[in-house]
Formats: sequence, structure tokens, C-alpha cells
Amino acid sequence: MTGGPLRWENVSVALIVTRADLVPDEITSRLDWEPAVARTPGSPSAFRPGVGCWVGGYDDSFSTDPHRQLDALLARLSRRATVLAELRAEGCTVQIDIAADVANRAEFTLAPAELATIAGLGLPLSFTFRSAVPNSEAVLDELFPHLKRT
Amino acid sequence: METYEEAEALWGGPTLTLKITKSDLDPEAVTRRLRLTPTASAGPGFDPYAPLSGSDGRWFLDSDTSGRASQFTTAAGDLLVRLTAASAAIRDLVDEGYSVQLIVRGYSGPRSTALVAPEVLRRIADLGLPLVVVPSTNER
Repeated sequence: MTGGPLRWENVSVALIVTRADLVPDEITSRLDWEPAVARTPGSPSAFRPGVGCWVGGYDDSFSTDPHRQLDALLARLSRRATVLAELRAEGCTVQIDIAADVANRAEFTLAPAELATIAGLGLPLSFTFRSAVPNSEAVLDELFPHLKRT
Repeated sequence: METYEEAEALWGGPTLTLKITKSDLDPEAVTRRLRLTPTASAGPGFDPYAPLSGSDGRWFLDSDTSGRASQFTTAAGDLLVRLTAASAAIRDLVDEGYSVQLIVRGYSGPRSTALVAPEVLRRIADLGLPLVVVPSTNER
């Protein structure tokens, strides 16, 4: 294995807002933000079954650097801190999510400054792992850790 | 852009680990300075059982690995309280060139979501350490 730790691929960072009786258009209006996903409650394909879902954020089309995506998202969220607090008070589940294709043991590192900004927003942070093709070298490492390969 | 069309599932066995490494790390000295007992440690040298770990001296402290995602916030919180009590000594190590990281590990199925609660993020941010997220996609 060469080149250091494996990286996460096809990363997107998003604000996710869900609530059983969510009206996505209302979230769009109050956040003044065009969503990537706006699903009314009961949609057949759902992150949380039966629950309305609003998703806005950035992906590779904005920047292939996940940290630039995150910086942009956090700036948007900081400007909307008051509305986000109101949504939470009204019973919405609000979270920051980082989604990616991950190979076994692929690493992603959040810098102290990023963590401080996220902590300041008071929102939970989640990671959505889409499995990548199993990494055969990593599987071998787990099965035969005593074998050194170069 | 992820469109979140599949139902979320929790990841399995999440653990938070403090990892300290340095080429000349003396595990007993780190234990003494932090007043914490490591889960595992090793002085400098190549370990044939962990060929990818390199040859730096290393010192690890894990959160309680009872292994349930629903208990991650509690287990991570307990570890972070202990680390917060040692935060001055941890900063000293960073200043002296030790690599000090917090690592979140967990078993990720075909698709799963790992949640870090705001109170856990607050404590991590207050420690001023980087957070490395490492999913394992292999079944246990």
C-alpha cells in the first residue's frame, strides 16, 4: 500500500432538516436557500421513512476539496444561525452531514478550526458512508496482519 | 450530491480513541504526564503485527468499547471528560512536537450514518485536537 491513508471519494456536505410534518417549501423560504432535495412526508424514497426531508449543500461540482465544501456550508449556516435555532425549537431535526464513498479504513480529518465552528453552531454532525468497492489489500491486512507487503 | 433516498442505519461499534505518536515517544513518560493509563502503548520500533503503524512510539486511550451506537455519546463523553482534565498536559505534548489526534472508528455497513452529538463536538473542539474519522467497511 502506498501514498498514505485512503481518502473519501465523491464527498458532499449538507444541511439536513427533517420533521414528520415538514413543509419543504417553508424551509426553503425561511432559509432563503434552494435545496438539492425537498421531499414531503410520505415520499417512497426517504432518509427517514414517512418524514419530510430538506437537504441543501455542496458537492464536487462546487469543489473537489471536501474542506472547501465544508467551509462554504459552515459560512451559510453561520449566517442563518437564528433560523436554524428556531427550526430546532419547532421540533425539526437539524444536522450537518458529510456523505462519501468510503473504502475500508479511508480517513477524513476535521481540523480544530472546523470543529470549533461546528461546535459553535450547536448542531450534531453525522457521516453517511456509502460503501465503496471492498479494498482487497485492507481485507488482507485484517486477515493476515503479520504479512508485511511493500 | 447525496440525495438521501435510502433509510439511514446506524454504524456499529463506534469508538473514540486518543492517539499520540512521536519518533522517540516513551510510553511511561506520557502515562505519567497525562495521569491516564493507556489502552495500548509501544515504544519506538517496527511492530511485525501492525506493519502499517510505522515505527513511531505510540500511546492509545480508547473510549469504553461496549460497542453500541446508541451508547457512543456516553462513552465518548466519558473519555472526553478525562481528556479535558488532562488538557494542559495534552497541549504541552502538542507544543513539543507530538502528534496528538482523536480518532472515531466504527463498522459501516453498505450504508450507514454515524452521529456525533453537539455536546461531544463541543468537548472535542475545546481540546483543540484534529478529529480523524475512519470507517471500517469489513464485517466483523
